[in-house]
Amino acid sequence: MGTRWMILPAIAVVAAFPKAPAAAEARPIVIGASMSLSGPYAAGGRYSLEGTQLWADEVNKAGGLLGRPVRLVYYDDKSDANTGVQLYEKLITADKVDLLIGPYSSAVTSAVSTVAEKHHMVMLGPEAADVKIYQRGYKYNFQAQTQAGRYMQGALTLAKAHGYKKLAMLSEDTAFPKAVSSEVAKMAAQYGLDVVFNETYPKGSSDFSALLTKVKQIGPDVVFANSYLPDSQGIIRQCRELGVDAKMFAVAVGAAEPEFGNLGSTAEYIFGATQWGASMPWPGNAAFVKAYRQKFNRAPDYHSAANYAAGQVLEAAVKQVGSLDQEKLAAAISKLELDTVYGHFQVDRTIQVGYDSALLQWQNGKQALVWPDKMAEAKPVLPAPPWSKRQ
Amino acid sequence: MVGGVYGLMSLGINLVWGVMGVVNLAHGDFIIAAGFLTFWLFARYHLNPLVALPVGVAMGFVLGALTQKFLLGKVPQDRGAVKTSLLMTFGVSYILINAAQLLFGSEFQTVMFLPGSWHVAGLDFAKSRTIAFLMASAVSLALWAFLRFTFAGRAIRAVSQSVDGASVCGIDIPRTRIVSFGIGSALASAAGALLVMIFAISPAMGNGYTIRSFAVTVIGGLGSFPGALLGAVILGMSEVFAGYLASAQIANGIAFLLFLLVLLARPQGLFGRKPS
Repeated sequence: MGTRWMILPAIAVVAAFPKAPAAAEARPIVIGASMSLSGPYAAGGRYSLEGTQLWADEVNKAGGLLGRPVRLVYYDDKSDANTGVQLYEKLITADKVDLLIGPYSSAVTSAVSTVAEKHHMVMLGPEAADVKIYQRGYKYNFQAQTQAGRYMQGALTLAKAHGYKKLAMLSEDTAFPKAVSSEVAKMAAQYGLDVVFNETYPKGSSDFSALLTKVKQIGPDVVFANSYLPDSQGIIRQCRELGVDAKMFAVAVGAAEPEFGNLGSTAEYIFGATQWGASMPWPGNAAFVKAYRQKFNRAPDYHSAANYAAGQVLEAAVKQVGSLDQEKLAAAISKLELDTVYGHFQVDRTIQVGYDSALLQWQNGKQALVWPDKMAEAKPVLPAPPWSKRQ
Repeated sequence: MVGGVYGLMSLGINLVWGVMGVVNLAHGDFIIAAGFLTFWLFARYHLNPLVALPVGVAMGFVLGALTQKFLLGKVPQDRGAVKTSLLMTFGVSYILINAAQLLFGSEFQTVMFLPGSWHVAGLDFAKSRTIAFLMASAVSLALWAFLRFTFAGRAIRAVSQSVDGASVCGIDIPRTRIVSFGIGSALASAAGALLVMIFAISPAMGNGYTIRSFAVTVIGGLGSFPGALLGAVILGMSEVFAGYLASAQIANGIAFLLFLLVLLARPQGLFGRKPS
């Protein structure tokens, strides 16, 4: 994709929220974020935004924060880190927002975290799994997503249990997918796996036939695609077209989105990392799922839940501090432990250590949680049948 | 296989460029618009993408003809004409991108048409790609016959060779240009309808296809029919081979590398006419 589009100012989309009647007089607390509403990350970006919107709505219904209503200001960063940097700069200096929420993806978060840090503004990163972002000694940025290294734990555990040996990995060449592949490469030996193929492809790729032809010649037992939705779909679909058979296929992000089901029968048997499930027993989770369905007329995915949870964390910290003082908020979040709809939030310095990963599999046209065992809705089905034997 | 679809794309830009001297920056967006139309008809009405193809082509022709009649046709033909029309197609490109985002959302979409592949002589032929290739070849052949054997087709070729000459022979220049731009967009739309069967597309990615079509035209030679097809096959093959032998990152840049090599070694393109 050319850079020509990026030069032009992003089209601003500002959401106006109905003011809570009780706090109609008070000046609203303005919360700013950029979200990937177009480009390759748009699917996850939209779920993320809706999670935050629902949280803001509920805060307003309950009388606001510190007695003031909250108002969300957001812009489309087009899945582009440079655009994100400009937008956070604008949110902080021009829109003068009171609080920040991080954008979608590690790549964009990594870039914009520098802006938040520079302006001493607290920023939770609900979509930033790459730990490297939080290993730079920053004080105002906090990870509010499961660490990338934990994403494929479920898939690795199952691969080990079935005695699979050869692992092939394809990864998008941006922060999060690369973090996943380097963590998996480090852990593979512990799970008895040998990484026989490990290559990256540029963001926005749609033709994976060259890489997959190489994978086919190697004949791995397990294929991991460390990818987002469009590339996950492309890779799995082209595996079928090229007859790339493996006993197990798992993707890092795409399969957790309901849209992955557009692949139809090709989605069957595919595993996907997820960080959350509607059936998980976290406090408030069932009510969250119900309210989300009512407001947006579709089921939430884990991005929605992570952003809603980030709102809960921010809310708890503000209430604890009793003001919007960024220094005090940073200190509060670093010590905060909170059971959110997404799991147990806890950071070590700024790195998330509370949230954990789960694994789902597409079975009979639906997603089913298959790992960890205590939360599983169904048994994992392995091995995947060869493509030529499928309908 | 993808080369066939690239060929279709570049025939469109080639025609418009050759006949009117206009590089249509909205070309890729016509491709994407037709892709989304096909997707929408498929997702909403379960319409077979091959049936949707003529619908997309008709839409492309009408949109293209209207663009020429009401926008590009109004540009005064003086020395600034090329620059003005270039900017105008840039504007059209933006309108198409944003219209597609409003209508279809900004997410990637694809049509799951004929998954799987045929096994012939130990090789795998992906069904969707093979059909897209055959359709692209059929449309290219139809275009060739049109340009060769019909009066309107000959008029288009005449205008591309010499505007003054064609005018002296009594050819209606504005009308011919409207038809050419319409056909150019129709070809883009045909390519888009086929492309969405193979890859996922999003409204913002038309740009990449404009550049590919442009590169193919430069490689093959402006105004050359076999050049456009050969250029497309060369580009399609080198992308796949570069991805296989080197890395996917290099495959992405290969169009520009070929583009530069051809410009240096043979500026008129492989099959192009030398400027007189």
